[in-house]
Amino acid sequence: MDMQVLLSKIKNGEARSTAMLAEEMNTTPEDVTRTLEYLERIGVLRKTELGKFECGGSCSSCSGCSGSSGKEKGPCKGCIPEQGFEHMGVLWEVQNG
Amino acid sequence: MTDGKKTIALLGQPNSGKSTLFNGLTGMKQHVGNWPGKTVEQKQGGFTHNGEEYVVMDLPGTYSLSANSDEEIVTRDFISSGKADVVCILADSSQLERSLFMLSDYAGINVPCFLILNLADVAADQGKTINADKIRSKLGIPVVLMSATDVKKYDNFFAALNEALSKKTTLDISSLEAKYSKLDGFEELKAEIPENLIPGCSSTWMAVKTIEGDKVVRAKIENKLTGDSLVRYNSHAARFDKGALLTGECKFSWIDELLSDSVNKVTQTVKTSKLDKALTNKTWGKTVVVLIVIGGLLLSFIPAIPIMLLGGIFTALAVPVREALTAANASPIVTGIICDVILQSLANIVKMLGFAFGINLVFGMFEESGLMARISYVFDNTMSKMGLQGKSIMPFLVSFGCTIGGASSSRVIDNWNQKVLTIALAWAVPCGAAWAIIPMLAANFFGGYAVLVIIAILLVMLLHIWITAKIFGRKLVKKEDRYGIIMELPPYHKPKWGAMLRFVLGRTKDMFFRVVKVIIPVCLLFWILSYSGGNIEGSLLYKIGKTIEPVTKVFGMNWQLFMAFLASSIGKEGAVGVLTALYSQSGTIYGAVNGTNAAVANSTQLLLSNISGPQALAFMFAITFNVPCVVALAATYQETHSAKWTAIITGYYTLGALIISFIVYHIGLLIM
Repeated sequence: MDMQVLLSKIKNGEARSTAMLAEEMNTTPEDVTRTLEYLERIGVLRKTELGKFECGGSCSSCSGCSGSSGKEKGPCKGCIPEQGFEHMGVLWEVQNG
Repeated sequence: MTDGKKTIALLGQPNSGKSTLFNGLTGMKQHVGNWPGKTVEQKQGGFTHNGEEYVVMDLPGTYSLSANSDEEIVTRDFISSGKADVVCILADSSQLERSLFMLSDYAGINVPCFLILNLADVAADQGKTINADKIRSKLGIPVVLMSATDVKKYDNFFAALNEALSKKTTLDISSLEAKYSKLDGFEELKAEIPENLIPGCSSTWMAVKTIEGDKVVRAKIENKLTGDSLVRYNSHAARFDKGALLTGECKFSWIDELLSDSVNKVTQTVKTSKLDKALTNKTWGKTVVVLIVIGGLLLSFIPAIPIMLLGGIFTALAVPVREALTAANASPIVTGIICDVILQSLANIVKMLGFAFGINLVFGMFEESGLMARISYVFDNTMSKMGLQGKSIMPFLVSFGCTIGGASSSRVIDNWNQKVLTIALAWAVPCGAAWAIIPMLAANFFGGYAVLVIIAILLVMLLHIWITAKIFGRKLVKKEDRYGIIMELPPYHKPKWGAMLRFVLGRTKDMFFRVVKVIIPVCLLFWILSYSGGNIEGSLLYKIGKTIEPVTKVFGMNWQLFMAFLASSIGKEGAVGVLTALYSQSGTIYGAVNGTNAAVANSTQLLLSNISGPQALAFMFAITFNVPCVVALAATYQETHSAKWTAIITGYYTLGALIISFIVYHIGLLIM
């Protein structure tokens, strides 16, 4: 897959699913996923796993959070309802410029 | 080699089964420590096979051999140190397209190696047939298809190990080199790097790492090259911009060719479901999503209604309690506090919780089934156009539950301007308290038309977010800072009802305590301020309220409504209770004059008889889009560290709520 073409598609500011991107790039979703992963590893893309959201563990301002999630490396109970957002998928994004 | 023992280094990506193989080989003969000078764990063990002793080094699980982390540096340094006699590279057979990347990154290192295609059982379960011999013929090294969990079947592993050690088998990388050669400037760069300049590494491998911008490799090469050679090396290296993209393409393409006729898999045509097709449709995807959300809101009423009816018990209870207290000659203040504040508040709280429960249940089901991910996906597009990061979706989603959490969760956004914009927009999302109050009020005032009110609020929310993004975004986020987003949608799941009910009940319980903490004190405060021994006209609140009423009426709010609106800035939960408390004071006067206190004991009737439809509508919109609560305001300050922006956002929302209230009131007058 031409990664430059892939990046230019992401940069245009539209949201796509991996399946849609695979269709546009005439390849498989698995190929798209591994390429996105690679681009994340080399620091071109940023990945956000919505189900593994972390608040940094210091949000004493929100109710219910003791700020301990930083140690546990999991979603903060104060910022995210317990067991919430487990099936929200994964986002990749690239900054223009 | 260590004391005549052969050393095997296990190399592979995380989850390739490296540790399973390590444990399978070494059993209890293990030693765990740290790599010298690093906090990276070093696992070493040993075993004897056919009278030969071996040392096994379990290298840290890494994605590649680049110098991105301590783990990768440790791994690479160990291999090039010459301490390993053979490198055993592991790949996950169930996802070879991804996991063979390590092999492609190893290509060009001259230390003998062999390949283990681990997790063969998982691949077989997926219907994959892997021809290890074909892969072997292409790579020139022993290749074993196995499952490291099956310790009794390690014979092929030992055979491959012996072959790799005796024949010193190294990877045939000619086809990968052919791909690199096509990169403009690669051959010139490679020509400047002598073989084994870094021990164990070919000039191809070093050239690839140079192109990828590997600073450690580059520094080592620059240290060893001198004169013209160094100048030429640097000038060729400078020709590559984003070289990792080019080499990455070569590596993936090589992997695909390697697997093309070696792996047969059951082709699963990825069929986009009809629902997904509708949701991701560029033209009417948003409409479908809006319809689903409306459907969800309608569904929320089903579990809400029985709970709401339960709230009526407290209202009904107020009548005999008031009679009993009056009969017992209790003080009017005590009677008022018990009947007008506590019992009415409890009635309101239970009704609110009914809707909170219903909405949490339905939207929890959406989340659990994977539908919510698709809903948010449709709006991601708009969000990225507003200049927000994908992470911004979290504060928005959290804000549906609680704006305080929404503001706090914006801390994951590293760009300050985008963080402020996200918080400013998250305030427009009606929080859990609003979702509890509004359906209750709407049902009281408009019966079955309540759904239309909720839909209107949702549409105004979208409009509000759009306008706010335009106003704040212009100043905060430049066009060049905008992001594109790719989203991997999760598969659909069957909701786990037990876990979900526990989650919903837990949230409802949390809400109960939070609401009680706000409603009863706020109601009590306003009740006291409006109490003056039987004649509300003597109260402080009445005097202030009446003075400003000519202005507040422009926004569709009489003085009682406006006071409840102000109370909603402290906490929305308190708004309805304050309203009831203020009107019940009026009710006391009414009751005193007519001797029919019992007639006004029902808060719903009380509100219906005193507030017109357009007024109720204006009030509902005003409190929904008002400042969420004082704690949210504090959280906003804490996250933005800017009193200026906190004040701007607060002022904007207060003014915005009044403008919306004005517009809604006048539309209400026209249509009702």
